[in-house]
Amino acid sequence: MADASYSWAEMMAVSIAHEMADGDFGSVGAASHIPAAGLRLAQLTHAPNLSFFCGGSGATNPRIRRLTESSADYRNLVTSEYQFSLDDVVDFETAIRFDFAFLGGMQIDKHGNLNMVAIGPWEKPKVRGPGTIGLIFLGGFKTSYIYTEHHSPRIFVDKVDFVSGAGWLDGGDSRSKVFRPESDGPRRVFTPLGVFDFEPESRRMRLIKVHPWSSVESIQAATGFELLVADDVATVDPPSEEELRLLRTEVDTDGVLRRYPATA
Amino acid sequence: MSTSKVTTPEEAVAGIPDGAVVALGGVHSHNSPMALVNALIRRGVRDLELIPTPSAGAPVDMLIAAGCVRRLHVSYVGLEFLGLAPNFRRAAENQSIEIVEGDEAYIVYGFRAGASRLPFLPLPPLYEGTDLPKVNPRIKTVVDPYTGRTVTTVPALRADYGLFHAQVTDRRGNTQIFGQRRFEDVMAKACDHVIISSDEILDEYAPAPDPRIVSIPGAIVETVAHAPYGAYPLSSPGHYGYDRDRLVEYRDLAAQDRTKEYLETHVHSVADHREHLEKVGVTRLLGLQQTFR
Repeated sequence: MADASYSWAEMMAVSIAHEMADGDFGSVGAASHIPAAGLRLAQLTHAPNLSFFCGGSGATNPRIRRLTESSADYRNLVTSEYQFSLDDVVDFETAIRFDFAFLGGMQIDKHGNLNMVAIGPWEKPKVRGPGTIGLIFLGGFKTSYIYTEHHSPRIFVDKVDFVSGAGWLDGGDSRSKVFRPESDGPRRVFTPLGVFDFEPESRRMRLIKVHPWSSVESIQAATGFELLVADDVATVDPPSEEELRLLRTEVDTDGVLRRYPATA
Repeated sequence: MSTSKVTTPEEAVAGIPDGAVVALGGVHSHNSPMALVNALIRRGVRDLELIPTPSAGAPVDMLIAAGCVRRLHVSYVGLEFLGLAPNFRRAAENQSIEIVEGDEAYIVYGFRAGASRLPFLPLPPLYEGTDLPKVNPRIKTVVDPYTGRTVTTVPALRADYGLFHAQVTDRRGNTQIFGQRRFEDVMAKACDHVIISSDEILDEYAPAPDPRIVSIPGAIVETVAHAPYGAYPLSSPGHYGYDRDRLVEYRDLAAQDRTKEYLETHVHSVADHREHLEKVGVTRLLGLQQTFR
């Protein structure tokens, strides 16, 4: 169902905003427009006490009314309330102080493990990725949100070729045997097609929300492993007029998200 | 009056030998010492062991393309919003450079340890469950003498030379970096020789800056290269933005394995940084200016 009055990126930002809790304190990485917009929108609606910082710059709660293509953009920094140093960042990441982080991968598997290093064998990769950077801290965040702008069987694989970031590992209780109890695995996955959680027993990725242009069947077809589907899976409402107004006048005045296609 | 540490970018890197271990500043498209990197490439330095910040980009990709790099410590090497770093990708896929597979913790804790000359740092469970220790033999384990538990360790990182870009530096090397993350100070402490490229040199009669905005103390800075637009085509926070069109041009040429053409135009066909700026042109450079003071 195409609706030209908003783009899939705006829908995804709204879906992210809806899942954010007031009072949480977390981080988004570099090149992460959509999560950054979702977090700003949450701050402007139900979560005024949500705090986040932008990886790359360390800018905390930037008030810039546009989405910069680089999170390390100086304009992000000078509109923020505090500049995290990289020392601060790794301290908080290691000490389990961040409630959440947004993370991605060039491969994501059914248990939310992430790969940013290599497709194929590490010694002789078919595709060399940019590297693990902060994904190691999946073992140091209270929880994490996975997001990707591309939902395809190439991204969503049964098992990642290289574990850069440890999600729920092999599922079940395998994660809790390795990491500190305060650090949980990924809580949600956001894609252009919908929203997912991890079923609490098996810790397998489970479809919980479908974006308006998508369906359970088409999402399964775009995923390289068998998805679980929640009993109460539902198609989400399109963004409200107020949400679109806030996104376009307070968060993204340049219309970066608006320029994405209407459907994914 | 104290001796001035100020020189040119070319002179500043003239003593860096083949095989040196080099730490490199900058975050993504911002604040890397490009005039120093260009001077190294122009000199044809070889076999560097490169340890960039955890968010490295175009300068590392260029040094690889120019054949300057033997070993690279990787946390992230990419072009951020412009995609993968083509030369890094090719070098890894062809195994033409040695890769030390690291990440943000490996680099930050490594330099912290190096800055204090600690032998290594032990960490709580982070690497466990990932594949990094399998491919990076420098990530090891040790028994914590206080708890008896086995913990993972990362080695100290130190470099022979540290190259960083700054906005304003005085003749004694007191360095003001306006931009992101303020990790250069820690890295600088882990380097035997610290070389700063600086857009501006504070006049000797200028009022002293508020010491709270000095990021690296002159006491540990050996050389200051006066390099106006010294981060070009990357941004110099507060002074100028990145040249997006030029970065796209680089990315496109690099993706087609034509980096040589880029390096010929911007590095080899000019004698030094000043000539490079003349080639880029006043209109283009002034168009990038950003003032926040």
